[in-house]
Amino acid sequence: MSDGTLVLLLALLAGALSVDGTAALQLMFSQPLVAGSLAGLVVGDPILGLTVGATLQLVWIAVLPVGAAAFPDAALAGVVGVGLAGLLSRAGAPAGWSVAAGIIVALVSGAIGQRAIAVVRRLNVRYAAYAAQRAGLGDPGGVRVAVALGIATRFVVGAILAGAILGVSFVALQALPFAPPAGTFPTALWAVPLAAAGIAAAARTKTEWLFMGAGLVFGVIVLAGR
Amino acid sequence: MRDDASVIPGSESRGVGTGTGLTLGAGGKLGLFWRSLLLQSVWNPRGMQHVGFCFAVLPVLRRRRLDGDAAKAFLERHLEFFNTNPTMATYIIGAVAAGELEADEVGGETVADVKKSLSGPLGMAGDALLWGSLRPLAGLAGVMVALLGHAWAAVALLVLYNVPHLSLRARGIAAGVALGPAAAREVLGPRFKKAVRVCRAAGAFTAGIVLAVAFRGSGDFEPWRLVASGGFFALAYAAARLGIPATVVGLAGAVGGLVLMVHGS
Repeated sequence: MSDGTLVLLLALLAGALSVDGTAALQLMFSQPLVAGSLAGLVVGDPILGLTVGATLQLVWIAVLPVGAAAFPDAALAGVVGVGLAGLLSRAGAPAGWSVAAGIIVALVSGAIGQRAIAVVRRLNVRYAAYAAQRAGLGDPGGVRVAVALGIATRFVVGAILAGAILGVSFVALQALPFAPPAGTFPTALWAVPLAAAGIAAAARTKTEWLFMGAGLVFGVIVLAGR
Repeated sequence: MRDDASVIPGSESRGVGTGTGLTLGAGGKLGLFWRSLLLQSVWNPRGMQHVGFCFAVLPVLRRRRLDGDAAKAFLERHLEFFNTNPTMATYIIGAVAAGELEADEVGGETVADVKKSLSGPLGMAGDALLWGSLRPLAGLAGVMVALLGHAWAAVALLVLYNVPHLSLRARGIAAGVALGPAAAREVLGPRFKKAVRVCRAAGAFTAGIVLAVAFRGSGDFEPWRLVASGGFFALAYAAARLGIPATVVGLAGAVGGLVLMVHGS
């Protein structure tokens, strides 16, 4: 499969998962662990998908997509992160560099996607106005059209963003004037404490802190015995 | 989250009158269920979920064969501002659809009153359980499975979240249709609050295990890793309390990791 075909498939996947994220279903296929795993299957490297997806899942574990709150586009980030890491690996880049570049670009994509969600929601104002205009004539068709347009817009925006970010970042990283570094990218070192901090900051009671400590002790004891 | 039933209009009423003789069968409830999944499709800053709500109850318009001014009034009634937790919205969708099949009201209350009075409490309850507790728990469990090296980590996340999520949606439609606005009582009581507390405690416990598993997998508790991670935890905690986005903190961590990688190589 050529790089171009791979980017196209990843873009379509990102579009579909973006719809799950905000517009319809919300079955959590848009969560980075799931999006990353699916993207890993597309690039033919499920382990890479799990690695990048799990890291992004940890980063955004405490982010709440509630009401009018702005939140990163995790589906876009998951697909872009794994897709870019996969493309770089196929091009012969060291594994650690591929993962690091994938995760950093994914985090930036999440922020770009966050802005895109706001733009889509402003477009939705127009679709809603159309629905209201048709409703004023007693015609329910406007509501159906608005729903279809809302979902289609989210899909198209997610797909275009994913394709563009993947294409631009892959070309740019390939053109770097130095050799990519070798070594292992230490994801657990910062992503796990970040997730724990997010959970701890959101903790309402001391009991939750105690449960986190109990989980840590339990994990250490069980793992020490293995 | 409020746990008193005073917010529930028509609490003593089933919400289903005897005006038109129309009822919602299994097919009708299934229709409401899948349409509820599109509630956020046209989410916008002005009416929020209003178009999605109207879309969800459109089958009622067809069943009642409303047209002309009656159809216009129906559509305008359901295109008013609406916003709540999308899963908990099923309680309101069920109650409103069943009530609207009978007349232009729900359990003696106007549609606007029902939507207005229930959307706030149900939104808070749903956000606390689904977004604030169940989603982090499912995410952490999925990450834990991934760290233990199992490829089905994503499946674990999806099952752990969607079994309660979809059950709650189905229950919301069924209870809303059967009991009217009073159905919301079952998710605004102390039992529901307890479920939230249990989920949050389970999430915190899982976070602790993930912490242990991650370090075991990446360096067998080397002292420098513990110190570095502890320092980053303190920074990330302070950032979270200050309202600095997790994306920014994550980027700082990732760049720091990259520097360590380059230095190590």
